[in-house]
Amino acid sequence: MTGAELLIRCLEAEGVDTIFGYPGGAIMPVYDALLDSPIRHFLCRHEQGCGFAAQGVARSTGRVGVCMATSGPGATNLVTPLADAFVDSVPLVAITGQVPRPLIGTDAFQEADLLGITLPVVKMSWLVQDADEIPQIVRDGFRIARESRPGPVLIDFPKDVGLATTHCKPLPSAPVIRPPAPSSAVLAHACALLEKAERPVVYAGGGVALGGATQELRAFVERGGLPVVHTLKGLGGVPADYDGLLGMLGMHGLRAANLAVQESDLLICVGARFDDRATGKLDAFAPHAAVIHLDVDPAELGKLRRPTVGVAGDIRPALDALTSPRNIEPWRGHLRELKAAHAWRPPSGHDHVDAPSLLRRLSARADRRTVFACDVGQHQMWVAQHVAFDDPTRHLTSGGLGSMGFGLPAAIGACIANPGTPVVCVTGDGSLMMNVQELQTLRRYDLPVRIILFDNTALGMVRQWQELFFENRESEVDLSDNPDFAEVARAFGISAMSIDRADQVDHAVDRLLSSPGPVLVHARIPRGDNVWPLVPPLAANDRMLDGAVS
Amino acid sequence: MTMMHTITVVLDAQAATIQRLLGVVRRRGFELMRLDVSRTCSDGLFQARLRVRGSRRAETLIRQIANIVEVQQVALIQAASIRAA
Repeated sequence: MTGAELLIRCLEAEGVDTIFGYPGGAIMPVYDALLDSPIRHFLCRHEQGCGFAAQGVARSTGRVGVCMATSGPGATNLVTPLADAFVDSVPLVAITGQVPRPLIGTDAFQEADLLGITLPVVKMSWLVQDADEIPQIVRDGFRIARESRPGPVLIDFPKDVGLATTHCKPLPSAPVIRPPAPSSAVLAHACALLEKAERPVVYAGGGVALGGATQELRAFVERGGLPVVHTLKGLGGVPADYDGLLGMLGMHGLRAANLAVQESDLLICVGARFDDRATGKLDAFAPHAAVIHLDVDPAELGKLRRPTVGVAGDIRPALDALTSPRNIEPWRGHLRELKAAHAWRPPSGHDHVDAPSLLRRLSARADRRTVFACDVGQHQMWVAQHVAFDDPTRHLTSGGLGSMGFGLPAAIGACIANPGTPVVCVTGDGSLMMNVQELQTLRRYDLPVRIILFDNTALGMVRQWQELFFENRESEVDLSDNPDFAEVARAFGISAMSIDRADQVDHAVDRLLSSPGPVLVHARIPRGDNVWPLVPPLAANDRMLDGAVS
Repeated sequence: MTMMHTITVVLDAQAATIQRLLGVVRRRGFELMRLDVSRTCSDGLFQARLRVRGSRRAETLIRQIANIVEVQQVALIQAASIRAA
């Protein structure tokens, strides 16, 4: 068998059934071997689309996503999805073609040092030197991608290794080993803090779902009736109807969530990393709180906020072991009042499309299993604020890197990996154009992804910041020369409609949810609509601006 | 406060191991002042000793280095504050 055939057999042994890729010269032996494999290959129209589609599989299922590209420009187009997966801890295996070994280092055609280029954005990477190494590298690659704190790995695969003869066989997939449980002494210290807390808040992040600890988190917060705030990636960790849920915290968090954290005397951080979008001014974040920080990655403990108790290891047994405060009913009552006082209120007295109102309508009407894949910008924050999530794997969002162009290919991956589950892509006029070519992937495979495109003829989030923090001096944010997006969709063979009035929203949502195939709803919204609340840069989280109520 | 730290690392002698190590040091906000590396052929390991300076917590850097897959051992063996000239 050839090295390329062995690589494919190894992927099969890992249970891979779906690859997103784009062929080219150096990866041709692998594409030839794929023809004889049951693995389904989906051709995206740009390698960045391949990488984000593979993330859509990984983020919506917890399985390792797989993408593939040829050497040189094909491989460099995967760098953004790799960086995105690294910062959001998404398990991904990227396989890139490489020029034949004798040509490496000679500036050969389509040669790029992918191992070197990707070093800071992968958990591990290999340049395969011998076909006999393939089974061990693939086994290690999948194990490393999914174990402990997940992340991306890269396998750079020279063309001549793919053509070489080998007698090796695939290895069985490595067993899944849970991270070590935290020490009982540390947990006892955490419990002592919990039991005397009067104003505790649970700050839950993406690590909850990544650690397979959603049920344990829910049991922990329900035992003590604990108030909960979510990070962007943590949304859905506790269900939307949980009484103590205050919503997302941070820069575009809900006022009650931010105020609760600022007033708390104990912050229980579960699988989150105190990132700047969540904390605002770090030294003014939760200023009165002791901190219990649970994370599988010891390097996160004390990286930005020194915890009172750092709990490294598997968060599942840690959450099971944590006890409850004695009496926090006065605190819970206070937070209920805060939540009610700062609840969102629909705007009145206009007839244009209001994006938050549309999303609330969509959320209320959609099947609760619906996966929402977002792009990046104002619409991303509106989704986080206004769509109700009961499961973190239903909300796919580029949190850490904030990659425009993520939404459509991620929705494609989620749609393929979750047959029968509705998938909605929420995008903007800036973001969609970053990977608009993937509309053809939707058409090619007839995937029933429902796209809602909010078009404000601007790069809305940047425009909002220029308005608020740069004296309204707009610089290169105008997109008033956008194409007619409904016509663009139709040119790809995708049905579409445009709306610009509030009285069209119900019909548009019906059309979106009932369409048997791919559909795009192009919603024109006012150029000046902003995301509120907003914590200004370098401000504490209790200094929220709110143009919607001023 | 800027501190000088001495760190020892034992790591697999793979193609990009030293680049990975130095990349973490730089990316996490430390400046490399001295590096000694030797490779032992018998067990395929690099033995590295670094002097780095920076104002962030060295304990965090040690944990970040420990997260490199090829790292077998890492230890902070000395820390000293840097006096103003």
